[in-house]
Amino acid sequence: MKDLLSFVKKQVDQAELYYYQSVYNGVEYQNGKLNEIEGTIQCGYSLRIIKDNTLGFAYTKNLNSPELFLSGALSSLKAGTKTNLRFSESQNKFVLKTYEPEIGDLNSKKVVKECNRVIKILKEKLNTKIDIHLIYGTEEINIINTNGAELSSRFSYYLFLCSVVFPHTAGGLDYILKDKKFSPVPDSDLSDLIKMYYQAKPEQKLKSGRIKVLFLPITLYTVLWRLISGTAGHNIYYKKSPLINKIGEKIFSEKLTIYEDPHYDAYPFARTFDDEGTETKRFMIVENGVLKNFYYDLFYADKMGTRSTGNGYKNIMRGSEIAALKPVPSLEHITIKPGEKNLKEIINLMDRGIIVAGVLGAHSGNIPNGDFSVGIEPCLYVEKGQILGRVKNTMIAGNIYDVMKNVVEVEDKLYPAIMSGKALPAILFDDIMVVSA
Amino acid sequence: MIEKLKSFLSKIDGQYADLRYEIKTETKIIFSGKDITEVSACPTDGFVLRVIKDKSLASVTFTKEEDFQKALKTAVNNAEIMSKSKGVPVEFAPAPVVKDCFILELKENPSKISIEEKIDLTRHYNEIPYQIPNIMHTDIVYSEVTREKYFVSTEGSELSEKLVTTRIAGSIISSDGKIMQTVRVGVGGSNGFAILRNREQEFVKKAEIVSKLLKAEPISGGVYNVILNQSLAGVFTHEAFGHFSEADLIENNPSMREKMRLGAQLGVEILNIVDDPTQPDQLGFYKYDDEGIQAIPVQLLKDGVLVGRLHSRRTAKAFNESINGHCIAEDYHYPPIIRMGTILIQPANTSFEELLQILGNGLYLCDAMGGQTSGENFTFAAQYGYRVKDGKVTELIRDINISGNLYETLNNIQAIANDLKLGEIGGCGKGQTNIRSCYGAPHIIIKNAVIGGAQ
Repeated sequence: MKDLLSFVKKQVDQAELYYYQSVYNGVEYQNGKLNEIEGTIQCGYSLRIIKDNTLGFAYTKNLNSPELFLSGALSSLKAGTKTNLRFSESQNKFVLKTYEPEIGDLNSKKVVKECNRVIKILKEKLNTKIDIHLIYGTEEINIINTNGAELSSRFSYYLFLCSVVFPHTAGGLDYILKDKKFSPVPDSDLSDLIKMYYQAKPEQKLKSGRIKVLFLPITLYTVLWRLISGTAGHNIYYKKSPLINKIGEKIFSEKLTIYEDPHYDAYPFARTFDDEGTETKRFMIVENGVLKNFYYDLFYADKMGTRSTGNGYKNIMRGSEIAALKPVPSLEHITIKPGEKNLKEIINLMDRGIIVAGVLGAHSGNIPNGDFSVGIEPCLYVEKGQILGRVKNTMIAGNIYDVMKNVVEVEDKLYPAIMSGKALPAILFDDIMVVSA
Repeated sequence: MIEKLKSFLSKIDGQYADLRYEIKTETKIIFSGKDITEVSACPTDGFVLRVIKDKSLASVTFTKEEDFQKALKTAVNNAEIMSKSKGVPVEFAPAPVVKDCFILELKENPSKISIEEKIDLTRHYNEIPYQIPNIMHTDIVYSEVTREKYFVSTEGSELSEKLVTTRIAGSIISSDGKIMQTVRVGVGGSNGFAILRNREQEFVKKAEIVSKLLKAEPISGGVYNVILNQSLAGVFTHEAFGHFSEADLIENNPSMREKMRLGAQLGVEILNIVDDPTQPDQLGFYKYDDEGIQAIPVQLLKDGVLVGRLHSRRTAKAFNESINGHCIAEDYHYPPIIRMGTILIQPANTSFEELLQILGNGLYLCDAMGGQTSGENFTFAAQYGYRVKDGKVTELIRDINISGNLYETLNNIQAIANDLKLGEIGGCGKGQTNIRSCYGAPHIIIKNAVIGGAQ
């Protein structure tokens, strides 16, 4: 990489080289049977250059021709993307525990044995479809640039997702476990999953109206995506946010404290630097309901005359080639401060309401405005603090800048999250419009 | 390249193996607002190896040629683990050995158009919305993706195919200082650059709509009779029905498999649905899938009865049905999975005006804004809509999401128009992204649709 950087340096004012390597196995069970094991050995390079205050970009998978690689970046200068940004000068100053060496000894045989154990326990109690998706592997990131930054991080991860599916649906109750090494599912977690399945199994009817709605951690991305959009540096720059000029204002319930916590290393992928080498830090987005900060990468921080918050990430949503992505403002480690009541106590606060255990269509609708309108699958029905079953064909809709003012309670425990979010509790909202057929 | 792939495969000891190598070149021109923020045109490449050993199928994707042995070892180990753990036994349905090199003749090959001309055209379309009042932002992207695929199998198939997908697409946002509204806009296809030219009207129309949406009334949640326009009916066909004609999504779901048995009356008798990747000049066109099988049209629903489904070689064998060339990968990152090509509701004889008369009172909902399905249940969003009163289209409405149950909805289709239209953008995110997934329909009436709303 250093040779390549030296070669590039001669023709540009600044240059940054990013390299990743990713090796993992994905194990999939469908209906309790091992269906697939997929292996992946991928790597790639990205190059950003700045010449005459103009930003260029290129990427490749196989570095066969440094000349061609540089030529691609020089050609991209035709875009005329002006910037005054300076690439990072940071070095690795502190180390997080992101890599567990024992991941190197982990193999699919051991993983399959664990999945078979989980399936056996669940099958003894449940006569339904059980699916498991498990991924384990390692990732390495290296960033060097002409300003002296020389950064590298290595990650190990073990992600376990189990779905207990209700009949005639593809949706079920989901259980997630995240670790940096092999980690067996605690039997007590499986017991809780079985218990909730039986509580939710009977089919119920629901009358449409405004009621209490409890989002489980796995579904909170529905509302968080709208907040992530509203606080992103590029959306602030383009004025695509309802939160412009609202720093310091109370926008949500005082029960909500939402922050970026890249250094939380109990789960995989904690970061000391982002994908452009800027040091990361823990900072508030919303504190006790008050909007505290927006988040930036180098490019949009420069546009806004501020500093990067260490949130320039190659924002990968689904299977994209990492090398092909330019860093953009991205909240990768969003966390919500826990409340004071446990899940059972929170459900007890629901005279009549629903629990959102899965959503359909969270990515659609008018996200910049904060609107959401989603199908719920599964939708658990609660009356007088008891889960009585589930209702089909149900939707909820609202705007997060209204809904998140009406927080009844935040759970006292954090869970690993998917889609967006690092560690999230369940949150009970009041007065959300629910429509059921 | 074919010879190199064959030499790799010759080192494999298994029942079956195939190896795909792809060079994927993506040209991107990105406008954020009036600023151009990226121009890139970079080739990437990689391999996908699949091995069947002891009736187990394992796959490995890898970037570097020198990783082949490591990939092979991983694939063989994983296949052995699956075999020992008594996973689902895998056999492939028989398929003809094919040797071919297919390159579609394009109407203006985008590789012959200069980057400057592509930038100018994208800039031109990006500027159009700003002529309309209250337009505050655009995100418009030129995307040109070329997949140059090489495929060999131990059975002797040797194929190469080149797929070129072009589009200029994105979103337009309006604001009155209080609220923002968003619509999607796009033109494109798989048959060359020509389809991108002279499409100003698409951008004008969408900019005018999103501007007017600022004063539109949000829909109240409830149950409505609705007309879906071609785009939205196409998404319904793809999301709600199409995914369950993909054999891999139902094969391990006993309750869905029972409902999706061939011969089952699933919908009203006026409903006919086909998936046809061979339709010329459509986004979903391809000749061979990523298992080396030539694609053929598949009648899925005939007079409301399920008569066909989409298969890979593996599922065709497992279901004891015919192969039809519907196993497609996004690119070299993935082994192929079963995908729709061009799925559509076949047109009937009713005009759109007659549909409005049949509806009488209800909603006319237009243009898709994303959708998702889970088992029998689906949700998808409309970009905008209108109230229909006494058979006449009246005021604009917004914030529209529809949710429903597949089987109930297939039986709630009251009428189908004669104005079939296929989408130019499409796309599907079933585990992998398929940018060429194409869908469409005529206008249709659905009774008793559940519409979400904050009011």
